[in-house]
Amino acid sequence: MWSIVDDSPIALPSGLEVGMPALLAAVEAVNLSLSRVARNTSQMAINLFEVLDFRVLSGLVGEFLVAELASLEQSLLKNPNIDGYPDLLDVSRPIYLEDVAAWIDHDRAQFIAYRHGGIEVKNTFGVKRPGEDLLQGERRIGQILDALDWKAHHTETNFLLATFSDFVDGAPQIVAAMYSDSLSETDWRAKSNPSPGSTMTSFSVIAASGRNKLMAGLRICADDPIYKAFFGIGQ
Amino acid sequence: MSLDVAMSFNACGPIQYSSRVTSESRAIEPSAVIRAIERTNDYLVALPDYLADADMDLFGAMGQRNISGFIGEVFARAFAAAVPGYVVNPHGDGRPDLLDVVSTTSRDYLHQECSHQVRNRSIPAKEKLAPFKYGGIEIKTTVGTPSRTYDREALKSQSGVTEFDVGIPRIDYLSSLKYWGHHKDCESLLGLYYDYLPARRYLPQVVLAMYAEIDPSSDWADVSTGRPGSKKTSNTSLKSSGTQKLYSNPIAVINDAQYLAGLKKIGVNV
Repeated sequence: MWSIVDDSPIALPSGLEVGMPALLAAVEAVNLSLSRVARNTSQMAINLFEVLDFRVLSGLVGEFLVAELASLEQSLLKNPNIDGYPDLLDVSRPIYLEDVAAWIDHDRAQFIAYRHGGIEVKNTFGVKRPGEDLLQGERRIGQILDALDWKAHHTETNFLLATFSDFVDGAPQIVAAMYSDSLSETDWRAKSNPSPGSTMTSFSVIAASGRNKLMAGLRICADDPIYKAFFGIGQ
Repeated sequence: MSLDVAMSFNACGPIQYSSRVTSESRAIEPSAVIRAIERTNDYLVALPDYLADADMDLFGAMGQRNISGFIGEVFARAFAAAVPGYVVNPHGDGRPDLLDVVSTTSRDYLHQECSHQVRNRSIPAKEKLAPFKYGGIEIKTTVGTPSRTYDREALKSQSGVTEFDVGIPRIDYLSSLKYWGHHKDCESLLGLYYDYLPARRYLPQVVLAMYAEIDPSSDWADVSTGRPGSKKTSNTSLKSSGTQKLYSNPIAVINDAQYLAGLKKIGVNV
């Protein structure tokens, strides 16, 4: 099912570690959930994934993974502020928990940039190669650019669990996950600010240097030759 | 999934237009449109339960503008499932949204001429589907525009907020139904209006469908294309003349006194 490329844990400065068993369990649970959504909504005649745009879809994959990791790992808490950073709060020390308890009712702005850190989660489906015809819900590998394109709201984004997803049997599935705790501002390109009135928020795209760091932090990849070839595994 | 309160709809009148192939008149009964609305609404109510594992506010994440487009996509599929002779335009940028394949001529044209074979895959041909020469029905969706001078204090006491965020019902503050598009090539227009219904967990629900034959040359505002090099997509909006055509021809409307009163107030003929 999975090729374990690097079984070192996702490690945070506090000493909190999320090991490979938890990461694998979370990713597998997310993939099951996504398949179930595709099946259930198809039974209502409209596969949700045929009508959602990629921005929302990538957000959805990320939210599923955040929820799974928070339920598997007691020292991680989903950020209660929808605009907060990071997505998963490190609550591995009693003092962190005390702060969270104090802020959650009275000072939610503290979660915009949670001072005790944690893990940010981002997903991408990759960028279609120019000239390729890709149908919504169709497998994308082989028709996307080699450079994956994670986006973040700000260039301070670090401690990033980055996933790559593809469509398998009409459902999005996480097919690879990587982690970097050494991203810096220069690893993100300058912010792109949408035109006034647009509902899109500003975002930065990973730069080549950041992508290289994430690729070097590849933890798991679907045990399928086409994905392994994409990531240069076993070559 | 539980549907908290059953919704019922009043049938107003049929969708009527002339086929571009045979010039025969088409009439789609309001009961079929109501079936499509109900299927759409049930789907929108079921989604949060399906996504419960993600603990995600799907509609909040989409944002208001994307919700309108999303509901249009869902409705198009529901309509195609409910009404024989109509299929969803297979090209993402195709127009109209629903293709009229009632006649053998248009059906054969769609199946034989409107796709390319690429590596054993059938890829929709944009040049044949944007536009589709045998026409069909364009779907536009709006949540409605609140009055510019709406009573913010009343909204705050009612909903706890002063702005119309996702999930805040608008019917009591409605001033008009504004429809937006990327192009003026839109003649057979099915205009939907949705709101966030308290009885349906404040989820978006279609409550009105209207239909009009629109004159592309006079009923749409000039298309704004943005500055050269800008990534902004082109956009236009239905002028008052087009909106009035829709208002005067409702197809189906929710059977609810509050909504009937609010829609009458802005001039919809319900």
